[in-house]
Amino acid sequence: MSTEPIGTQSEKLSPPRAIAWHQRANPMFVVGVLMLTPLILMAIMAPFLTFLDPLSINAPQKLLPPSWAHPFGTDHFGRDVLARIVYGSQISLRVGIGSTILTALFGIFLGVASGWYHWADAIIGRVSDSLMIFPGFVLAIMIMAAIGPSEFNVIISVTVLYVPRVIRTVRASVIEFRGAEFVEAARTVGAGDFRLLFLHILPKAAGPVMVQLSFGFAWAILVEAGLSFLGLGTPPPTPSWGSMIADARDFIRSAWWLITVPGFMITLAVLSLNLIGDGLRDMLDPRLQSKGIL
Amino acid sequence: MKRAADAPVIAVKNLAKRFKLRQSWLKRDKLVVRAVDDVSFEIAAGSTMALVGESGCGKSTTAKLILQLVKPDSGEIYLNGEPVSEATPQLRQKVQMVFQDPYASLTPHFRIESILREPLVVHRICPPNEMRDRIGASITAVGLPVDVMSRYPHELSGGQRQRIGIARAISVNPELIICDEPVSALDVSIRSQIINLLLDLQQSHNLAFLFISHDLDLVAHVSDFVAVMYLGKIVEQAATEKFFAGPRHPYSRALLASSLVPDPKKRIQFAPLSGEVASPTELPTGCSFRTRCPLAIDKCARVEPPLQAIGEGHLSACHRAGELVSSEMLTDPSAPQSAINPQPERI
Repeated sequence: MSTEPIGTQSEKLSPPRAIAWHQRANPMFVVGVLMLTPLILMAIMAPFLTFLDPLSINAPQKLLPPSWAHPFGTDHFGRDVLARIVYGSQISLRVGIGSTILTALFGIFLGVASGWYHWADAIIGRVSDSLMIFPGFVLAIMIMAAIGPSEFNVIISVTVLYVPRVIRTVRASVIEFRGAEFVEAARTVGAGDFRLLFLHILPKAAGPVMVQLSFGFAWAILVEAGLSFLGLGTPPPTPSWGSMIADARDFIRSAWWLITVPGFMITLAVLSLNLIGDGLRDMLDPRLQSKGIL
Repeated sequence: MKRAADAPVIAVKNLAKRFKLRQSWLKRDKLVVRAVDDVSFEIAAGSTMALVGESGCGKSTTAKLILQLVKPDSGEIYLNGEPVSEATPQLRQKVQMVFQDPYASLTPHFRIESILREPLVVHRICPPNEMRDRIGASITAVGLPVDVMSRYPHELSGGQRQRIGIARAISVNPELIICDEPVSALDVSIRSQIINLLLDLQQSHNLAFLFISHDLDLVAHVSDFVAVMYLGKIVEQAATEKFFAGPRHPYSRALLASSLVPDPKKRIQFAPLSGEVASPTELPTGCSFRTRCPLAIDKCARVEPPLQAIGEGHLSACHRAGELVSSEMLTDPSAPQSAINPQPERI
């Protein structure tokens, strides 16, 4: 009956099209991943990378410049900077991953609700608008001042800060596709709201949401460092990159390694995640291709 | 399911839908578009009714109203004699739709198997372990090889996709299938294949079809009844043979005259229409077709012609339907138009 040709079964089937990859790996994305991977490995393998305790105080050995025994020197309490950097990466990544997961959960749920139901949009839209009118960091400081410094509270305040962006991204996709003909067709065969939203519409939002989340991850690391720098983040003596920089302020002239090394690490982490986000965005939509640095 | 023996699969009575266009939140008065206005028809099992008209005349809105994708403002819909007022699971199973654009109507990130599984899951048509076989059977029924199951819509051609759309529609044992221009997006070379597939399935499943189209040759081929819509209203309704033998509404005549017939002698002659379709927000007084009608008389501007019987099973909404019996009356397209088409008053 059908005379139209059909590919043979041996032909390789294409991967799921939840995300339409318009091109192969983007150089920015690759470089970002290459920069981020050692950071993640460092956090996971922290106990094997350094045998020194990041918390042990050794007053006679304070402010030693980099040497074979202490590759990044020691701080004003004689603590090994390498050990503190290595264990500090765990905090940065925990805050990043924790807030990214929370942001994704709340962002997708609230975004879907506000894209689908008009009454929910009125409420969620106004609340997220009012969160977005604050300069992000000021809001983070306000939240931390209210709920007190701790690692988990940093995760909460980063989530509150970033969730409106994810809500908007998801909402935009839901609104874009809720009137699409394939959604109407699925409704015609009897699919309910849940099926329409989570099986037909949401996968179309996966790409833009991933881009947002990778920027959110970078943001989380930056905000954690900033809050710790102000003494509002992870409380001492836990080795956070931000609090290391704060402690190092007094020794900029005498011990340059104290401020350079954590500063470099923060830059590296944030840069790698931004590259990943930019790369992802360009891979998803080549039309938006920025003339990036790579 | 209980069902009156003679109840048509679908009956629509005085269906109406108005869309309000808000111009600006400052202006209180809203523009109202009468997308569907007082439309009635019924379709019996195994028969096809064609809904014909220009784009924007309310054909697709009628389909959406029947499917309860859009809530009607007034009017009743009866499925097998039982009134339908919301999207019940029963309606979603018994009434299916084949969409115009097979590219847009299949979820792009679903494999064909998932697309065809969805209606089976939603309506609990069969136990999960039998689904694969059933999906395979419906793919075979529309003339595709079973291995398309593992493919994505974008890997198929337009004709193959439309076959999948048809497979999805018939997989839940529907009684009415609404075909919204099912072949107008397809290559001419495969249109007849898809049409024949639809007609075969209609016979084997005793399906009622609501066939929306503007292709009159196709309508003549597939349908048992024809309803012509103009600006939201049905202006003529008749059995297909009667309609094509002698349309009794000037708009139908104009439509027929505009379709190309290989034999020029058989072509219906009619004065070409002048002007544009009246704005649906500002309908003319009286007959909404009078602004373009070559036969318009004074009465047309004053009194809206009702859709009334002018022969056995033949309805027409024209004051001059009686004069349209003789087909010679208007065969001379060179007749001076200004004489019969005075510049209509605009309101």
